[in-house]
Formats: sequence, structure tokens, C-alpha cells
Amino acid sequence: MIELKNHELHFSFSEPFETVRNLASDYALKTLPLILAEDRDAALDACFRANFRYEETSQEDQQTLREQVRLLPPEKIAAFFKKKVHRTALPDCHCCKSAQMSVAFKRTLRVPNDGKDHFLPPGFGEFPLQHVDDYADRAPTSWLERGGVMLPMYQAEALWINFNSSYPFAVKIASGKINAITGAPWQSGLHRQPQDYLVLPEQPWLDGFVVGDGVVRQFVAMPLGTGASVEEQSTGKAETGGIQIQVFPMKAEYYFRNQVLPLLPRTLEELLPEMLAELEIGHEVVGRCSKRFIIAESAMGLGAGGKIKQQVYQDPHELNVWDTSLTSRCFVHLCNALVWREITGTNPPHPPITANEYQTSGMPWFDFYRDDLETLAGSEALAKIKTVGALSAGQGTKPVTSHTVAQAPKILNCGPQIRPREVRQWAPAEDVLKT
Amino acid sequence: MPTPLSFGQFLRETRSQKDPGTFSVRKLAGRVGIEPSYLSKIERGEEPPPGEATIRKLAEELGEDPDVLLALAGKVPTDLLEIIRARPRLFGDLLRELKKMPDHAVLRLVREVRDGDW
Repeated sequence: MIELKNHELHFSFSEPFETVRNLASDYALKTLPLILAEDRDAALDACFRANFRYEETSQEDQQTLREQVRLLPPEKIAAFFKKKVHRTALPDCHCCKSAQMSVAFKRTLRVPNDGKDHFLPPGFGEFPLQHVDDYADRAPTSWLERGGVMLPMYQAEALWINFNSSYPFAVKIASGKINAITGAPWQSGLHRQPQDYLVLPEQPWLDGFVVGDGVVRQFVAMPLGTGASVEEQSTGKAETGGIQIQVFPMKAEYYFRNQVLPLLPRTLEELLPEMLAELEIGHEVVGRCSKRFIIAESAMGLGAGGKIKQQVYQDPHELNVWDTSLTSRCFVHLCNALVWREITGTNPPHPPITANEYQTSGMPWFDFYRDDLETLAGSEALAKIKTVGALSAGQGTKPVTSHTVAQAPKILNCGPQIRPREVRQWAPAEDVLKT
Repeated sequence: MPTPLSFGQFLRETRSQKDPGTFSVRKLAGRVGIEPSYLSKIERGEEPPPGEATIRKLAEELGEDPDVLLALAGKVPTDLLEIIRARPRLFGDLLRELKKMPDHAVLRLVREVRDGDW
């Protein structure tokens, strides 16, 4: 099912949620008796030796903690264990009872087409999304046939796509039914060699067509019929336009076996650290011990790419882990901002500021890099696509303004542990927004 | 029918199901911009629920639906209030009708994005 909530598309699938919940319950049922039968003193000693500097703990402290753990009622351990299993298996699915992902289209500035490498531009909030069906009397007939939603864009305005998910999904993105990863015409299903989809949650954003390893060409809106769209350059026709999205959840059994099971506690020793903290048992003793764990700093890369520097990741799973029998797809129509008002009766957002105005205001660009995942090589077909700026210059038409960036950019590095909505959001002051 | 949780109970219950390192009272309060002692009192029911903006921040941090948290706090979200104010009779009648409907029937009213032919 796809819903429109707060200008985001929410894709939800109840089947994987039900299957994972049942698998988690079965696991809890089988493992709980073994955990309850364990020797608690031995489990506590092993837990402390693995996680804390036990040798620094006094005999008195050790004895206090042993007593507290011995007195724990089995029902309390059982309740904590079941809760732990279910929240590990379905971290963000409880309130919606389904495996969910969301897609938002972010307003942004257009990066200069100056041959230089650019970092990720900021987000200025979501493009407004509307059901095309709500404007059946004014929207073009072809839009109503395709269904879906629409958003307003100015000519030569840019966007990036934001993904948010905790459950794994494979996502296909196309524009004018030309795949944005491979440059191939739209095909149903998922394919490898070349991989024609993104993998979530590894991929947080997509800023453009994937033209090389670590390089994308920014998504920039152009009217159909000018010959500037990727669709027109690939097919010679201006028929479809818009953005197409298709989503496939991971098979629930595979997800549970490979991504959940290794994280579930199998013994009382593994359960104890979190249980002691949550039940506030022996926290004075635990607080006096220094932890052995060292949290590794996230390695980030800064370097030369091209156009926009953005990695698109290879699927680390086998192709058959994706459930192609469960899928949802959506057509996102791009509506010229000048026509948007006529169709909807509402004003489109103000045009975004230029890259130079943004940068001279001292605001940051963004970089995101992971060295633990393989990246896609990019599409040769897409690499041959001429840019919007080059085409308008070659045709002798009014060139699409390409602003240069005068000063060195300020870069913010975003780690792989991305918190939704916390990064790449920038709200410029009103005076900066004025053109 | 079980007694529904209070706002504070729901908050504590939800927070306790998250990673205790990231969702301690102190850390959560810091992220939403309130004092830890205030959040603690809200959870224990010693203080009334905070304002809409703080509830929305709490909902975002905890991954919960802001409408659910606002309802538990006895508040009507501003955007819903505006919808009702624009057509009070229509939405008043609609909500009274929906009140009697079972969940599965109400869920049928959830609007899907329609996929067409492309």
C-alpha cells in the first residue's frame, strides 16, 4: 500500500511484518527455557568478564550483584527477553504493524555545471506532493491514466530523493521510464549485471543519474519536447516524463535468518548487559566499572569525483532475497511550477537560491562516504548523456544559467549512522531566499 | 477493553523499548530541548503533557505517530483543528459516524496512492 503523508510517499507491506513477528515468537518460545535453566552466577561472571573490567570490581560489589541477579523472578527475565527479541526483529514497525519505507523529494540548489566535482547540496525541505486524482478536472488526461502524485518544479530546478527505512528494500528509480542507475528502458522485476536498483537502508539518498563510480549527474527538471531530458536523448521520444518508483521488500524469512538472528541473545550472558541496565539492577556497581568497548570512529572520505560525488551501493545480498511477488510502484509527475498554481490553486515553493549565493552565505555542503560497501560502476549510457547546460548552449537557445562558485566550500561529513531528518536539511534565512 | 495508557506511561513504555544508551531520560530530554527532570515528571504523571511542538519532537525521536501522542496528551493537532474549523459541520458529522465503525472499516477509508497504467 502507498499513502501520502506530510508530502512523503509511505510504502508499507504487512506480510513481512507478520512473518517476522511469528518467527521472532517461535525463537523466543524455543530459546527462553534454555535461558531460564542457565546457572545465573556463571552467566553473570561471563557477562562481566566480557564487557567490564571485572578484576577492578570489589568482592563486595560482585556479591551484591550476584544476589540481585539470583533474586530476579523468571517472569521478569522472560518479559525482558521477549521484548528484546521483538524490538530487535522489528525495530520501527510496531506502531504501523508493517514493514515500511518512505520517499521524499527534496528541494535543493543546482550544482554548477563547470566540470568540477561538487559535494552533496543541501535540502531546503520537501516538494509538496498532491494526488493527481484530486485535480481530475484540470490535470492532463495522461496524468490521470497513470495515477500517482505530482509535484511542482521550475525549469532547470534540481531535486534529490530521500529514503527512510529500517527494514531492507530494493528500490527502482526511473525518469521517463529510463532507469536512473543503468540508463536502460524500464523493465519489470529486479536485475543484476548491471544492478538496476538501490538497496535500503544502505542508500540514504539519490541525487541524480549514476554516470560513474561515485559520481552522479544531478536530477534537473526540463520541459518535455526540448530534447534535454534523459528520456528524449535515450529514446528520441518525449512521451512519459516524471519519476517512476518501484519498491520490493526483502523476503521475511531471509531477513530474519541473516539480519535478525545474529543479533538476538542466545544465552543469559548475552541478555544480561542490557537487562541489568534497563531494569536498573546493580547500576552502582556497573557504573564503577569502566567499559571495554571502544566505539570506532566512522571513516569518511573527501576526494575528487565528478559532478556530484555520491556513491551508489552494490546489493550485498543474493538477488533471490527480494520478494518480487510483493511490490508497489508509483508515478510521480513533475509539474511545471508555473502551471501548478493553475491546477491546484496553490502557490509552488519559491525558486531556490543559487549555489554561489548559498556558498557565499557560509552555509555547508555535505559529504557521505562508506568504505565498507562495494559501489556500482555507473552507466556508460548515462555517462554519454549531454548536460542541460551543454544542450541549451549548443542549440543557441537562452542558456540555462550555470553559476560558478567563488569560494572554497564548507563541508559537513555525514556518518553512516544517519538519523532521519537530521542531515542535509537547511533552512536559509528569508533574505537569502530572495532572488 | 483494557484501560488506555496515560501520556506519561506511554512515553516511558515506548522509551524503555529503545536502546537505553541512546534513549535515557537525559539524552532524550536533551535532544527535544527540555530538562531531564521535567521529562521524568511527565513520565510519572507529576506534570501535565508538554506543548504540541515538544510532543511532535518526542514523537519524531521515538519513531511514534505524533497524532497518537497528541491524542494521549488530550490535544488536537493544529492541522486537524484547521481542517475541522474550515468545515465544522461536515467533519463533525463525519467523525461522529466514524466513531461507531470498527477499525477494519475505518482502515478501508485510508487513502492509497492510486497506481494507473504506465
